Amino acid sequence: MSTSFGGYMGKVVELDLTTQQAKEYPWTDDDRRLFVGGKIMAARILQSMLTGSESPFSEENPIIISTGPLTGTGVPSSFRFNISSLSPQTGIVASSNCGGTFGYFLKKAGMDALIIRGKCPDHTWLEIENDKFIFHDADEDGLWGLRVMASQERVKELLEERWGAKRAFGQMVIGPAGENGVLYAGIGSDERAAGRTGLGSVMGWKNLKAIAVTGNHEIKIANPKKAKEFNKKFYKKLRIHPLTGTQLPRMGTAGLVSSMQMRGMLATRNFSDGRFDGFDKVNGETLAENHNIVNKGCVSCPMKCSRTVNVDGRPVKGPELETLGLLSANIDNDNLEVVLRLNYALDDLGMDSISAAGTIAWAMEANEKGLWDNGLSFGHVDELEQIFDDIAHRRGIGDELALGSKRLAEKYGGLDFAIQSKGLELSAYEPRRAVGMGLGYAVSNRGGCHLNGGYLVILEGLGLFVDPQTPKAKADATMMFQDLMEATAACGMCLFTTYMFFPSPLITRPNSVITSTVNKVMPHIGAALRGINKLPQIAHMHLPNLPHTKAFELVTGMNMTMGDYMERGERGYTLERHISTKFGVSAKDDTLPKRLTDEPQDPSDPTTVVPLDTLKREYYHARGWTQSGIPTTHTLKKLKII
Amino acid sequence: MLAYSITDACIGCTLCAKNCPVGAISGKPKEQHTIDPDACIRCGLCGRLCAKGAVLDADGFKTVRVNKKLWWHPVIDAIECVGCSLCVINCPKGCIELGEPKAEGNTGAIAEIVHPESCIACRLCVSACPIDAIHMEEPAN
Repeated sequence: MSTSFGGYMGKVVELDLTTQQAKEYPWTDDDRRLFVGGKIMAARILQSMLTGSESPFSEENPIIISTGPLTGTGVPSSFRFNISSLSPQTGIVASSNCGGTFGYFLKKAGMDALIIRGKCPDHTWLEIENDKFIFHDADEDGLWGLRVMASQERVKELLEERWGAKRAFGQMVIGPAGENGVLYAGIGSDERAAGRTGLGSVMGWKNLKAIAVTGNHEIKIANPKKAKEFNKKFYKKLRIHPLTGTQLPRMGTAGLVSSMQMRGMLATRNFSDGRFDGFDKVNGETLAENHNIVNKGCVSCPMKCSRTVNVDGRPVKGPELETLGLLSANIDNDNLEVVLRLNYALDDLGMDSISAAGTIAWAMEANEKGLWDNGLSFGHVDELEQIFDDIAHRRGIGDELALGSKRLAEKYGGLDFAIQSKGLELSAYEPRRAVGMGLGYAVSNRGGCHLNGGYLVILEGLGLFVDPQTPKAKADATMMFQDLMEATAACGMCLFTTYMFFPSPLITRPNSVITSTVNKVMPHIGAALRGINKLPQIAHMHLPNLPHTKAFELVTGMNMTMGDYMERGERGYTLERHISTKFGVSAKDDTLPKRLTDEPQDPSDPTTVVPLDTLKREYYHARGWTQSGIPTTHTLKKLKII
Repeated sequence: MLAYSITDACIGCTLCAKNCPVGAISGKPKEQHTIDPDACIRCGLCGRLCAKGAVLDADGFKTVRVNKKLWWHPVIDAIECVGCSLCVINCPKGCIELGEPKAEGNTGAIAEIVHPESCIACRLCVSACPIDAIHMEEPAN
């Protein structure tokens, strides 16, 4: 089933692990036009496969690995691929995005997406070369049981032995956490990870340790010459923007710690506060000056936002802001070296560092409150590396911690301070000082995620400084940003590229008249944002500060205005929600723990809570969903979802 | 996927098999060799080495042996390069790496040809570069 569009390989393959048979999944150019690729494409495929009764750990639950049309085409920051499935953490549709090279090589093997169904009878690893699927014994090959980095080294050795030469290939592997069913186990690809929502344990349940893929197909581009010329401009824009050209390259995401501290949104002691006394010992500046060896990043990306740090004399990947915050301020630890060590341990064990750290913080508080005698307490971090190892191998209290904070709180009590939504732990942004982010955490399709939640913190203090306590216009802005990021992820591009949406002077001159005016006016333009959200097609243009749409046109040959782009995003977002409603999700699940909605961060300022009910009401209106949080038939038909 | 192939003009000298960077060529000495079409990356090295003109390129055209001294070599434009690494992962001989950061704040690393002696003049780096920052140059002499 070939395609007339560039960027796409024109084939989606469905592989059954039980029968070891592969067949082509029908995916037409009309599907490509409507559902783009990446997570939106995966959601459409899941829609056709899930009825609402499937369990994450079942043969009926597929894993869908999908690329975007821009993945690996040379467009800046376009090496992303997506993994979607039912999450064992949330029980509903989840996706996790990764910057490793797997997606590029999947396309080189001639596929836009790979659907994995069934279950291997024994521990297995899979080799893919173009349309050949070769199953290997993961026990015999000494692969099962290895950590993430060692697994990848072993796969490389095994393949070089088989091929008799070095060939370029991509791989995705699970570590001990995925093998042993830790509910928040992730998947590693090179130094990057598809960490969130526990999809590593779905792979582990299917007895699939690793997938290696290679091929020699050519990724065709509709207008190669013009695309290369445009790429130059796109790269330049990224390099001169203050966020993508300066802050992220110099300090990585950790550069946000100081701003978060200043705004009171640095999650501290299990989100009981928003400021941490020792923040200057663990911030991006300290990381850059004292620990960063070299900046690294995904292929095709000029930002190089990843840090490389020294742990036990070895250069390893450093922490992102979310992990850094949750392993420092949130557990009362100001020792950055400990953070670096724990972050690497979590990556190497193959588990989501956000959920692992969030669960530990809950356990510390539960112990201090006398709910669960587990020996953990804030500020005591010496044993944590061993605890994480115990979680990955399901030993001792690790066996229970592997379930995540929601399930533990349901058992021991303490749900009010289990900082999660739909079972997924929140990131390090304290939402009581950024209420729009609070809404995002609550309504996010994959649970308490800052990115899937619209990342409104960038408006509320980390880029602009729109009043972080007002609910005004936040619901519409959340929808707009969610849709923008949904479309960007579906194309195969990094979400950080959307930072360019904010004109440079607004970032570099925060006190200028223009910036102050924008900050003041923003809460009053909710109606205008609603208008664009309801009728995105009125944006029948390309925006100079969002070159994504033009790049998309040049690579694929498909028309794509800004309005079309936002419409694709809305379709994807609502589609995931629609599938989740089959599993019983509704407004009752779009929640936050009471700590964030009922206990003001500053007891003298009652506005320092998330006014979730008000925000949700507006959000459902904006989305065209009922007040029960269910997309209406009209909305679903308008978006061509049904 | 298109691949190079070997005709019956092959005398089984094994030169191509020994040098293929991805191990895609197999065959016994003094017998006609074959190229695995799934593994061939179209680098063209077999064609540039074959003294018998027994190699056909991916479009079916006969290739010509070229003396190694006459092979062109890639040059990276240090001003244009953005350090995206696409050339690094596409070089079959590992000739290219990202260099040391050149700009303030540990940033500005660009691609550098660190093993020019291993270059096989395949041009895969040139076609992989998304902004035309790599071009081929004739040998100096």
